[in-house]
Amino acid sequence: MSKNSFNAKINLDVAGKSFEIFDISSIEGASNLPFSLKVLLENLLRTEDGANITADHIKALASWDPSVEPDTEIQFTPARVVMQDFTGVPCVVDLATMREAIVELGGDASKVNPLAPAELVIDHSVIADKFGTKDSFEQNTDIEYERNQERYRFLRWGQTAFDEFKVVPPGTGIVHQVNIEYLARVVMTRTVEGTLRAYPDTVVGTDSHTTMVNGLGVLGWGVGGIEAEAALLGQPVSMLIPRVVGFKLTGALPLGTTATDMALTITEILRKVGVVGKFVEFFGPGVTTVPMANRTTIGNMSPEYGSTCAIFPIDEETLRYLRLTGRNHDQVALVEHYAKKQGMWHDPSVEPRFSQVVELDLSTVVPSISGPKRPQDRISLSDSKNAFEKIIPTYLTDKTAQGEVPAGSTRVKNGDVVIASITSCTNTSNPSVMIGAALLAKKAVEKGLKSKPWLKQHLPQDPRW
Amino acid sequence: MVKTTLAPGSKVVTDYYDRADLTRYMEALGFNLVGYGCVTCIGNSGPLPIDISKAINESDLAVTAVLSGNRNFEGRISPDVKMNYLASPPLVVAYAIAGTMDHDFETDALGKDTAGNDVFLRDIWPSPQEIQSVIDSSISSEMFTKDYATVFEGDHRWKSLATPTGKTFEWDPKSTYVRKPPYFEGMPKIPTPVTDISGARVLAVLGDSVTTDHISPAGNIKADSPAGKYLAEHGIDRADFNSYGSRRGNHEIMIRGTFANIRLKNLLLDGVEGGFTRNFLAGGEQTTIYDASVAYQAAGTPLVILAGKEYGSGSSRDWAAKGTALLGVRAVIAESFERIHRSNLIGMGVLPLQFKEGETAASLGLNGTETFAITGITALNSGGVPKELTVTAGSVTFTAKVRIDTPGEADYYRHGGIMQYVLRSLLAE
Repeated sequence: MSKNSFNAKINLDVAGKSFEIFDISSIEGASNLPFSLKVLLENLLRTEDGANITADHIKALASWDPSVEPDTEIQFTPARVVMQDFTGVPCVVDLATMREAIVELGGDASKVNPLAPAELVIDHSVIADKFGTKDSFEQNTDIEYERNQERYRFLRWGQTAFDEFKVVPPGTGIVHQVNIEYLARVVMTRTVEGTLRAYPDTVVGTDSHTTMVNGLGVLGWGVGGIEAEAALLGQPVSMLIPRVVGFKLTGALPLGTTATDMALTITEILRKVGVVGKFVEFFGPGVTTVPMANRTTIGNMSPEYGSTCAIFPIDEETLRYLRLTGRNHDQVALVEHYAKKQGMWHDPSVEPRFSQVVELDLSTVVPSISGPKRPQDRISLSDSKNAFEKIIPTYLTDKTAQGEVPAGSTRVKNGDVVIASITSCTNTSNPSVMIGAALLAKKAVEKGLKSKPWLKQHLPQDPRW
Repeated sequence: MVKTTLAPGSKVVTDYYDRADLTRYMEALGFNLVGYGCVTCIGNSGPLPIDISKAINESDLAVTAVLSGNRNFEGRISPDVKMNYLASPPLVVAYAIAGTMDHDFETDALGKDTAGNDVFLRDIWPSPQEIQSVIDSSISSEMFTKDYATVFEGDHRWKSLATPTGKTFEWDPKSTYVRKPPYFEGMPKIPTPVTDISGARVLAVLGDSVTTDHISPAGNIKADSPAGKYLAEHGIDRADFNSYGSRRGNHEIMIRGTFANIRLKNLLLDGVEGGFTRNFLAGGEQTTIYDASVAYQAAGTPLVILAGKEYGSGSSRDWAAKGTALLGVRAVIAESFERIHRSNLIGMGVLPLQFKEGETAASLGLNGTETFAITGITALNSGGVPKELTVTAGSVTFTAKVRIDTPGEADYYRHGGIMQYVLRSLLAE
């Protein structure tokens, strides 16, 4: 229950419903805060308890000085928690154990539930044991179930036993994609003490690429299991008021370049700038031209930049994406009205106060790859052969064979591509690159090209694959 | 031989591939669906064909992987592959056709067409208009509503899992993956007052920049480690040990892995690396950290850890704090703490204390063989948080800063940890 020292509680009427909201415009200094800090400010206003979250914290955040080193600790209460199966299992084990403990102390087991909505997607356990055949997916899923039965039985129990806890079963999707395409509310609604309340969707996740949802204007990042547990038990996560780097986008991507090229370019730039522990927020006229699929790819790679988050404000493109992915009309209307009322709607003509500004003219992005061992080591595709020839000697040892060596019925040599994988949350929810890949495949097949070395079907059947 | 895989993050992808009739072209190049999940990106690329793997290892070849992922650290993708490149999905397909990283798409042909003409990447690169027209004709919001309508239901495998019902879980006593941790054993309804610590021994003396990687188990489980022995005793074959990551639901494994990193340097021992310490109940003999902890806990001896600067840096790992608590460590005295690990320690009921500015274990003349007493934390019982308290170590007495930084953290500590705190609040409702 908020102490509401700033008298910020007002009503917002949208689509025939009335929502209680905490209006940040009543706080001095709030109007030109970065989008991300406006979201945090609302969070503190709504959770002000006078002890851990105080009026002084709210004032400190609203009057944030972008140039100072972070030293003010605040308590952030995320609206929900997302988990993947590797890191999520211990959280659910602890909840299950709490249920027994409360019974032993004379309480009711059904009282122990996540206090903030928690959703777990089982995506980390599938292994590409089988590949290249029609039934690879079915076979891999069978093996996955065999290996992980004990964990899956447990999670399935949790799915039915707890309120506010949902499990997306194996073979469905990757947590961050399920998050952007389905779970993210962008604006949350919840009935608190009989009153319907609306507030920004915020999230912590037990996976570092949780920042993918930043593309939709949902503030959040990856945390360790104990912070996630704290959040799902309704407890705040402590953090310092961060520095916020403004990333100004101008221009538009040239023909033939992709979201991946842009994300790799941003990775290279931000690693040089140094954004560890900072928020990165995109602004400027170029933001409007960046489709949501590309925004989420950019948000996804925040851990590669080193930043806590890499966020876009809410705008027309956010609404278009919510409609495309089938979110209901009233929810989309609420997102629009809430964001506009709170000053969280992107205005290309306003430059919020930032600790530092970095700029990228999108028209300068070129086709790129990164490697061979760090995401920030971007290589222009036009220079890829040259760069490869320069680096390969550092990977060769006295034992390394020169030239081709026999490998069963085929031959293999240094530099050969042995794994080519369309994988990862980063890109596979991005229709333009996924359809681009498939159209390229179509044209290649029509011209009679094949994947190297055309020999897979000749290889002896090995029981391992 | 290219291991080609397609692992999208959502079923919508295969839906629009099907609707645009593009699946068959991806399959013709070997990009068959292998699963909806993280797969290659987190190293679940699966084994390479055995002949290829053998040739690579016998001839120590530097072969490559190309993936449309976000991370490519050495060794992450496959143990056989030294060099990993990130690229867009269309470039992944292009490299599968090229078959080598030693390729200039501008001047090197990808192959020849049926008429014998060279084909270059530019000849098959789709135009933005072509891509947009397929997007427009094959992606619709109905696809999302249909695929997500049943998102929590799962397939026949999920539905046919023999699952216990009931409000509490029926733990399988034989499970080596999911076990009930002892956090609440003997927990009283009302918290007992915070007590000072006395008669404590030192489990480890650590230097600067000890990371959560050093503290918390990760990666493979070694057969001769305490965790490996536990699994063997429970009838698990070495081939099925799996990783610490997959066994995070079993505290028995995770405690045994805590401080078991092979690069940990415990200064209680000279020149020894790994999860070892001295057991002062047995004359200071060298033993594993886990075995020493068992002996100390049996004798009711509390434990402390002495550390240098930036203790607990690195990414937050829940088991770094949980494992520390379950080993019986009551306090960590460090020159400085990484913020999140410090708060996690309190969340697990372990007291973080900081040497005064300019002081270190060495400057105070401590070598870890001393018996420790920590007095003054009982001030928490009267509502406030003491800023400092007194530590006596053998014949040395010094003042340490109490790093309980917020009122919320003080409540967690009074209750023995965050879970106990929340549990009691729920009970009181």
